[in-house]
Amino acid sequence: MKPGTQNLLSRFTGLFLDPADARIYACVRIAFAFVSLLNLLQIWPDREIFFTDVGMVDQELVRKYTVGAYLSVFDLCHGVTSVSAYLLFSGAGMLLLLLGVWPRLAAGVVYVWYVSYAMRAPLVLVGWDEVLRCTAFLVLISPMPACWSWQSRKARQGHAPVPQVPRYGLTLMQVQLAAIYLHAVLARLDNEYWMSGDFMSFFLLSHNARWPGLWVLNYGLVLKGVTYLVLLMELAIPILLMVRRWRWYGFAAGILLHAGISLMSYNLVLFFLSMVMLYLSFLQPEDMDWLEERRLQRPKAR
Amino acid sequence: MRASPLSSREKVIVVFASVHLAFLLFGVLPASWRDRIHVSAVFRCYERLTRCHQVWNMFETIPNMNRLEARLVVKEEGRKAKEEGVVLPGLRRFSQHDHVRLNNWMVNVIFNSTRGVFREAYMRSAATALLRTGRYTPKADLTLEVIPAYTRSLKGVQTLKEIAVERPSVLGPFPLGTLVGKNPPSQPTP
Repeated sequence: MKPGTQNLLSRFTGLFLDPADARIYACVRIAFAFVSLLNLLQIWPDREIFFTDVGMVDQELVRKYTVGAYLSVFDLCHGVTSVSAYLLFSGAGMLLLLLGVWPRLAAGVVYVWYVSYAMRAPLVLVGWDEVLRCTAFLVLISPMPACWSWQSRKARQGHAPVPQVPRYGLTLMQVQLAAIYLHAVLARLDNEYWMSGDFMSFFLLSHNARWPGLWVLNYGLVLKGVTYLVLLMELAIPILLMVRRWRWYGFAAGILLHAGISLMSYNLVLFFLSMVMLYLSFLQPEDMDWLEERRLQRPKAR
Repeated sequence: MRASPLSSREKVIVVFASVHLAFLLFGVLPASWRDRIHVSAVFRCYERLTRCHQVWNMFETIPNMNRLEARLVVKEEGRKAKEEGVVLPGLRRFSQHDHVRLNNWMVNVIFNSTRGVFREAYMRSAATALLRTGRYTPKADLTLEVIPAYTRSLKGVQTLKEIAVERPSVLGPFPLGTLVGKNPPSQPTP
């Protein structure tokens, strides 16, 4: 093999096999489990509406119109008791994942939960359900080092070195985040409201907006600018995050974008958290060192 | 640069991660673009297998609905029509802001012309729930009233000083007994 080709191949395999800091995986795992728990808590009051036979979504019809096999644990759950039990079971899986106890098994339980409820009630899914389901798959296949977990407490007390694991899971999460933004921008290229810059005005007049009102019309020009800025930010964020020394600008831009959306909209805080969770895959070992130092310094300061 | 050859485990990781990476990169394309490419069938197959659907058209379409109300109206012959909530079970009232997922149900079921079968199923379930309350007879007529208010054009909002215009639509009326007859419920309780 030519040296050039070999170099290219080595760089490519490095995307997946280069060592990564186990604490970054742990950070993503904890954040994912936490956001999943919040999502479950949001669904809990409406579980009877979405998942039972007396609710709004007819399971037999969903099964009939599902493309491919209908695989859902809700096939076994018809009443509120069994549905509640399954939600509690899934919640326990999320808790175990958060604590890092039997993490692979717990990640499996959480992934099955996401697939199951997406199949059972596809008509009530929201954008962050898709983000969480894709992340659940990536967490499931990622390395699960014993780090920042209940099981690693002893190791932590003994100041054991941070384990190194292959970085393929983080790479795929990073690409997933970039794919979300780039897809969103490309899908809007055909839309005249996005291209004319009127999107933000319509958004702020819609039911999604927290404060819809005639005030929106006074800021037409500013909102045109904001519409284009959103597109620009969605294109720029993946690039900023991927360049190591610019990543904090990427974090800042992303948090600003999603916090802005959450502030101006109803019910999009979980979308904000679901997206920020994927940002964590861009953290670097020095960020984790800084975080651990801060955490270790706190008891000394007392 | 790696000096040693890859182990079997590493080869598996590289192959699997490469496949998923290719899947994600292809997923960057909007669905309408993908369908023009030959490998889209393979993409869809993998998407179905992993359940990682790559459709990220967030606000691709314009959010043109300002508000949405929905209610069930039940009319017994010779009596005044009564309003009930649309949320099952319990016939609770629908609130667009409190029920973000139910709002999607409304958009996906009520406003999607291809989902008539889900609307029918809902009407049958609603009829069953109404009869179970014991407040209505099978002869009563059931109508689903949906009142969306659509945002005017920006020029229209500026001129009329009114954000949206209501365009109500109704599904029905259908006799409760007929609806339930299509899907026999368990014995109604008074």
